[in-house]
This record gives sequence, structure tokens and C-alpha cells, in this order.
Amino acid sequence: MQLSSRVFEAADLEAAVEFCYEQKWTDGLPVVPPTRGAIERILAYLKRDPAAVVGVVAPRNGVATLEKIAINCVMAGCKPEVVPVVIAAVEAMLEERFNLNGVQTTTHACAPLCVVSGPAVRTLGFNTREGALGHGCRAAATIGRAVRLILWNIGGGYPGEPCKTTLGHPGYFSFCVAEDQDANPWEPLQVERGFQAGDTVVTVTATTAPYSVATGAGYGPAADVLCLLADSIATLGSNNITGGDMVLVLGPMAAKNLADAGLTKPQVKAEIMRLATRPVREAKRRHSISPTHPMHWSKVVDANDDAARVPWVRNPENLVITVSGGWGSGAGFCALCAGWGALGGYTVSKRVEFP
Amino acid sequence: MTLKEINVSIELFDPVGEVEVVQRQAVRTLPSLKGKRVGCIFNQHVSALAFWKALESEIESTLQPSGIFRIYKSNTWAPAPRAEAKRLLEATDFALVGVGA
Repeated sequence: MQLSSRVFEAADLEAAVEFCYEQKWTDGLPVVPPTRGAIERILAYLKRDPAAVVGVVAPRNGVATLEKIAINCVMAGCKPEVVPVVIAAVEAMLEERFNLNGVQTTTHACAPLCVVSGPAVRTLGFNTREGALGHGCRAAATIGRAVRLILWNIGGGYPGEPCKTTLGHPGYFSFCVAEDQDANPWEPLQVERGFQAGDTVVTVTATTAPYSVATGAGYGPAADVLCLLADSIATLGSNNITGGDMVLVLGPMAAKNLADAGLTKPQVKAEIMRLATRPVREAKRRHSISPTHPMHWSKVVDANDDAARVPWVRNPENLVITVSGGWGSGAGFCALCAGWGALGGYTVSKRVEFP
Repeated sequence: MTLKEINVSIELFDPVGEVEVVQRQAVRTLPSLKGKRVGCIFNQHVSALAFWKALESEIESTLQPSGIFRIYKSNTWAPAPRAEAKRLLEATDFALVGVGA
């Protein structure tokens, strides 16, 4: 197989790992040395031209060929079967509305969160139970890791220059979760996003680190669960005060609580939209965007009415809801991943094309 | 499986993507900016509001442009929409491109 990338030689495995660090090919975690055999296994699985271009990755404007994607997937530890998910995630991030250049360079702390839904969640071996958003699953860990290494090695998203994120967050290393359709009482996320139930889809949003919400779903009524979810969204420090997208991962207990109360997903969204607000007198304490700016909250409510409510979720589409995780205790834990606001990182879904 | 020492080197393939090469027209040099059509692309960042206002005022009084085409981006943090930027390029002789974060 003809590969066009430059080739280096290391004496042994330890030297290879260290060489990757020296070349700045990794963001701090060790990587699997990208060897010919492993790269060729991925490309053979894809059955596509290694030189085929998926797109140009900002801000460095590196060309993401399938060969380069395959190399980064090897480094991330991906099995060939998950690489189509990575490719779809890259395609999603390259959509104009995602504003990848901004996501990669902002002072905010938003990293692309990949939500995988559809039949391949099972066939690829995703963990959708305990720890679904965290540790313990090769598929999710390596897909998220590959996305980061592509943003690093092809997009050039190095901290300091040009990536200005003030703090970043652990999801910058790897950030991927899969929807549990068995525990999801509503239609699959990919159907809600306009695809077929039989499609596997990756939905990408740039978000902050997950914020754990103890909804009390095992003990309390749906109205209180909704209240707590909304309260986690409408925080003054969240950039979603400007609007924009966010991802809410409902644990199965919370999802069941809401569904058992007769709520559809659109109704859940509508209720959260109604509740996730703060009074103008409190919103005035947030100063990071000028009142003259088109994204300032005063463009949607009367800034002179201290009792008026500023909405954090402007449209139902801004709130991406998925279901995953273990049953847990009566606390009914969920995770809110706030977004970058109206500034970018908007949700994009792409169908995964398996060979 | 047992691990054993092997005396072969490891080939590593470069994961860094080639930077896209974009063909650009040679820069056109204007003999003077005075009286020309100027484009202003401003990102509306809060830190630059006063500066930008003063800059535009200075441009107007000093260079007396024959026309001003403004793009004040509604999203400070994203590139100007391609269609708008194209219209600006067609309508101006030179452009000032924003400041701020």
C-alpha cells in the first residue's frame, strides 16, 4: 500500500513512544506508535484511497487525508471498525456552523463532545451503562482520543499558540459518549436529528466538562427533576446565557422518571426551556459581553425590567438530549455539558459510513 | 502471549497533516489610500469598541474615502460569512480587518 507520510525510525518501543513526544505528536498522554502495519490495517478496512481528503482542519489548515486520519487513529488506539465514526466526527466539525477555528482557539473551555447513536453502539462495543461518559470503554475512549489527536496534529490546536483556552478541561484528551437506546424511552437521537433509526450517527457539539446533576429522580416527581436540570443550565457563568447549544446526558433513571410522567422529549425540552431562566437583575451581573453586542441577553428580554426572565435555552434545537449511563441510586444522576454559547461549536450530526 | 525482545527497529509515520496551499493573487499595491473605497470588518469585541470607533473616524477624516463598506460581525468569534466577505472584496479597494479577541 502506498503511503505518502514521512517515515522515521526508532530503535525500540520505548524509543518510539519518546520520539512521539519529542516530535510533539501528542498532547501529553503516551500514544501507540503509528507503524505501517497498523495504519494499513485501518486503510484496508476502509477500502478507500489513502489520499482522499476529508477536509482542512483549522486553525493550522492541515489537510485531513484518510492516511493522516488513520495514523492518528492508530496513535489513539482505535480498532479499524471505529475509524468511520472518527471520520464522521471530523466531517461534522468541519461544517461552517461548528466554527472549528473558534473552538480551537477560544479562551473558553469547549471541546468537541461526540455522541454516538444507532445500531453500531452495540456492535462496536460502547459502554452505555456505568461510567458511560468516563472511563472503561475502548470504543468511546479511542474515538474521543483520535478526534483530539486529529485536532492536534492536523489542526494544530496547541495550548498557548494558537489554542487560548484559559484552563481547558479533561475532555480535551478524549470526549465521547454513546446513547443507550434500550434505556431511552423516546425516539433515538439520530432520528430526532433527521436520520433513520437504522443509521449510526455521530453528533458533535463543543462543550464544557460535564457537570453532574443529582436530580433525585428515584425519589421525586418529574417536576422537580426538570427543575433541577433547568437549574444546572441557567448558571450565570455559563456562556449559554448568549444562547447556543448544550448537551444534556440523562441517566436512565431520570429519563424513566420523565417518561413515566407522560412527558415526550419535546415536552421535556419545552419545560426545561421554560424553567432554565434567571431574572434580569441577576443576569446584569454577567459582564463578559458588551450590552451593545448582538449576542447580549438584552436582545431577547427587556433589560429595564428587573423581574423579566432571561432564557438560557433559546430554541429546542439548542438542547441536545441523550440517554446513557448506569441505573445508579435514587439520586438519578445526569450530566449537563454546557456549550460555548452562540459563539460557535453548534451541534452537527453526520451519518457514519461503514465500508 | 509472551513478550520477548526483538532486534528490529520501528517505523513511525508522521501524523502531522500537510498545510493546505492556497493559490493567491499577487498583492495589489495602491499608490495612495486617499479617496479609495475602504472596507471595515469589525468583530465588535467589547475591548475594541472605542478604539474601532476612533479608528474609523480617523480613516474618514484623514483618507476621505469615496465609500465605506462595513461588516460588523454579529458573531465576534467566527469568520465573517463568506458571501458578505466576497461582496466587500468586490466593493472596495482595501480593507481594515478587525481587532480584539
